[in-house]
Amino acid sequence: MNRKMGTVLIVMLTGLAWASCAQSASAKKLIVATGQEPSTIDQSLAGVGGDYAIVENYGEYLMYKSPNGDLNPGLATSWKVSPDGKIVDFTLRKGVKFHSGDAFTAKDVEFSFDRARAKNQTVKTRLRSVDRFEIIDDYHFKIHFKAPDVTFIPGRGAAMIVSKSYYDKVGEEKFVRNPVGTGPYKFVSYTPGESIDVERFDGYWGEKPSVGEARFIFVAEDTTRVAKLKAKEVDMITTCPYPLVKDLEKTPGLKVIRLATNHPTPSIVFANRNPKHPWHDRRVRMAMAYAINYESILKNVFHGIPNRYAYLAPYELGYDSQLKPYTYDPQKAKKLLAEAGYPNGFDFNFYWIVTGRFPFKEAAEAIAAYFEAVGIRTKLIGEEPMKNLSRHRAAKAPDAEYAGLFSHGRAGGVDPTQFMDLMFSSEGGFSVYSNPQFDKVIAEAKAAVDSKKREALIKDAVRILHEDTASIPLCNAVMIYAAQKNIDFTPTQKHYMELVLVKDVTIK
Amino acid sequence: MKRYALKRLLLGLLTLIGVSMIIFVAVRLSGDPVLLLVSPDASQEEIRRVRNELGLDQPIPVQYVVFIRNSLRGDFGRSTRYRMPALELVLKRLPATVQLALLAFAVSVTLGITIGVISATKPGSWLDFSGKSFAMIGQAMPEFWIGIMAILIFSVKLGWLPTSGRGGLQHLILPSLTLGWFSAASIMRLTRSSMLQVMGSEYIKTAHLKGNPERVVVWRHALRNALIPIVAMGGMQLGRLLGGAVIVETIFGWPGLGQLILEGINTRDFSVVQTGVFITSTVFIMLNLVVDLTYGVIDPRIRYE
Repeated sequence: MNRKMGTVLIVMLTGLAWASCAQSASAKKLIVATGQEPSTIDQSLAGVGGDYAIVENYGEYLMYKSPNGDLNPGLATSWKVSPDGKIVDFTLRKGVKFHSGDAFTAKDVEFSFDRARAKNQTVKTRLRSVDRFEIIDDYHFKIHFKAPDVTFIPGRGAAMIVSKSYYDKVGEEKFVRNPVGTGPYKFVSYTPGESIDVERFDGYWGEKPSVGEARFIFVAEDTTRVAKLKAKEVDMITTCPYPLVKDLEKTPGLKVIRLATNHPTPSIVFANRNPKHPWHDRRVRMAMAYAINYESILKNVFHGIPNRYAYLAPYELGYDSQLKPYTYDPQKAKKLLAEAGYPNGFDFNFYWIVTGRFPFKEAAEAIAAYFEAVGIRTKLIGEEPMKNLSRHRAAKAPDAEYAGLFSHGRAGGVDPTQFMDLMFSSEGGFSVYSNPQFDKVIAEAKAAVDSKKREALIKDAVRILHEDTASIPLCNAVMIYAAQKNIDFTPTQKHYMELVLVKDVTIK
Repeated sequence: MKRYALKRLLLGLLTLIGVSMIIFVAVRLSGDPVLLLVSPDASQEEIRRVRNELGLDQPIPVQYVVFIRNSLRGDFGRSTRYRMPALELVLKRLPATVQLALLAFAVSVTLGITIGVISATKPGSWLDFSGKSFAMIGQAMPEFWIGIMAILIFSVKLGWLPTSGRGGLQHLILPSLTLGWFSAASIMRLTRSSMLQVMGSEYIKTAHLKGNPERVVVWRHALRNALIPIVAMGGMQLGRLLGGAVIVETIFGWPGLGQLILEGINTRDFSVVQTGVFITSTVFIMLNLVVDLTYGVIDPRIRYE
C-alpha cells in the first residue's frame, strides 16, 4: 500500500480510538431524545403537539395538572364559576417568582392572554368566548365571557403564563429567544435543529424535583432514536415506532412506558354535503363501517398497541358503556350497499396522509382491501401532509369530493365537547361533516355548565354521530416512551398529548 | 488563466439567476400556503390579511422583483415556521452541511482515486476484484440502508462510534463515510477506466523506457493525465453531496441545510426554501469554480482557451 492510503488509515484509527473514550450520557444530566423539534420555544406561541412536551417544563398554565391527570391549584389557588357560566373568579398564589426574578401578579395573566390571543391561532380559537378581563387587585381577577365556555377550565385557561415585567424590560426579540416562565425548570438555551437545555429553578413555588438538569435533543429518524437509546447515549426517548416496541420490551436494560392519550383517533372521514357521492347516504357509510375487520388491522398494522373505543374513553364525562364500536360484518355491508342502490358497489377515491407518525399507508391499504371485498373499487391516493390538509379544509364546499383516512379526534379532549365541535360540527375547524340536528345538540352541550346536563347532552350527541356513521374510527392512539432501566417516569395521564415533564422523572 | 476564470465566474452568476427564478416559481406551484398558516376557522378577511402581509397577493413576476430587490439588501424574508430571518437560519445550518459534504468529498476522492489506480495497475488481480466489488456495493446499496446498518453495527453493537448528532471528529466518521461511499464508487470506476486508457499510451511507454520507477510512472505521469475526466466527475459529485446530503443528515441527526430545506418544503415555508436553495447554489457554484480552476492547474492547455 502507498503513503496516501496509509495516512488515511492512521487518521481513521486515531478517530476510532478517540471515539471509544467519550461516549455515555452524563449521569447527572437527563438526556431525552424527542422525535419532533418544537415549532417554538415561546410559551405564548406553543400550538402544535411537539411544542408542549418541552415548553411545559418551564411554562405553566393557571391550573396545575398532576401526573394522574387531575386539575389542582397551581398559579391559581382557587377559581369559582358563576351559575350562568359567564364569569370566572380567580384567586392567585402569592409569592410566585418568574425565572427572571419578576413577581407574578394578575397583570401578568392579562398580558399572557392578550399576547397569546394576538399571536397564536390555537389560543385565539380557544379563547373565542372571552369578553374581557377585570383585574380586582394583584392576586384577584375575573374573566367575563360572552357565552359560557365549558372547555375553559379543563383546558387550564388555554394560554401559558408569561411575565409582563420581563417583557417590558427586555423587549420582543430577547423575550422570544430567552423565554421565562414560572415552571419547576428554567430555560437555558436552544440550538435550532439540535437541542434545548433546561435546569432546575430553585425559586419554584411548588415541590422541588429531583433531576437537576435536562437536555432535549431532536432526532427525527425513528431507527436512529431507538439506536441512541440502545447505545446508551440517551436516557429516554419519545414516540417509539410501533413495530419496534416488542423488541424494546425484550431488551434487557430498557423499559417501555405506555401512555394512552386516546388521541388522535385515526378515522375514515366523509365530506357528506355533496349528494353526488355515494357516502352522502348514511347507509353507504354504515356499510363501509361494517366492511372493515378492525381486530385484524389493530393487531397486524398497529401491533396491538392502541385502544379502541366507540367514542369516548372510560374516564370521560358522558362515556356510554352501552355504546359498542362498529363490528366486522361484510355480509351486512353488502346488504346495506344494495339497499342504498349500489348492489355492484361503486368507484371510490380513498385519500390518506403520508406521515411517519402512524402506519397510515399500511392501514389504508388494508382498509382498501376490505372495501374491495364488498364491491367498493378503491383507488388509494396518498398525499403529503400539507396537500392533504388543504384538501381537508376545502372539503366543506358543497361540491367537494373527499373521503379519506385522517388523523381525527374523538376521545381525550379537555372536554368531550371540544373535539365534537372541532371535528364534527358543520363549521368546525377540522370538520368535513355536516348534520344540522347534531349542530343543535352540540351547541346546547357547549353551553351547559351543569355537568349532569352536559353529560346527558354529550351522550345524545355521540349517539347521533354513531348512528349516522359520521366517521369510522379505527383506534385511539397510545404513545410509547422507552427509557433506560434506571429511569422512573410517570407521564401525565388523561392528557391528549405526550408530555415529557422532567419533574416526573427520577434517575435511580 | 484570468480570462478563463472570469468566463467561469460569469457563467456561475447567470446560473445563479436562473436557479433563483426556477425555485421561486417551483415553490409557489405547490399550493396556497396561507390556508395552512391561519387557524382552521379563520375568516376570509383574516386570510386576505395574512396573504397581504406575506406579499403573496401580488402576481408572481412582481413577487420575484421584490424578492431580488430585498435580497440585494440582504433581506431574504422571514421563516414562517421559526419566525426568524430566513438568511440567519440558513447560514447557521450551512457550515454543518458544507463540513459534511467536503469531508465526504475528501473521503470519496481519496478512496476513489486510490482504489481506482490500484485496480487499474493490477487488472484481473484479487485487488482489482475487491476494488470493483467496493464500487458495485457502494452504488447498489441505498444510502439510508448503509447509514442505518452503520449505526447498528458500529454504534449499538460495537460501541465504537456515536450514533448521531454533530460533535467531534468521531461524529463525522460514519456520516461522511456513508455519504461518500457512492461518490467514491463512481470516482473509482472512472479512475480505473481512465487510468487503463492512459497506461496504454505512448508517453507512458517512454516514461518506462526512461527508467522511472513504477510508482513515479503511475502516480506522477499516468494519474495526472487521467485526472481531467475525474476532476469533472468530482465536480458533479460535489454537487450531489452538497444537495443530496439530506438523507444522511436525517439518519444521523446532522443539523444541516438539507434537512432545513426539506422541512421548509413540508411546511410551505417559502422563504426558507428559496434562501436555502439559493445559498446552496451559490456555494456549489463557488466550489465548482475551484474545480474548474483545478483543470487549469492540471492541464496547461486549458489555460489558454
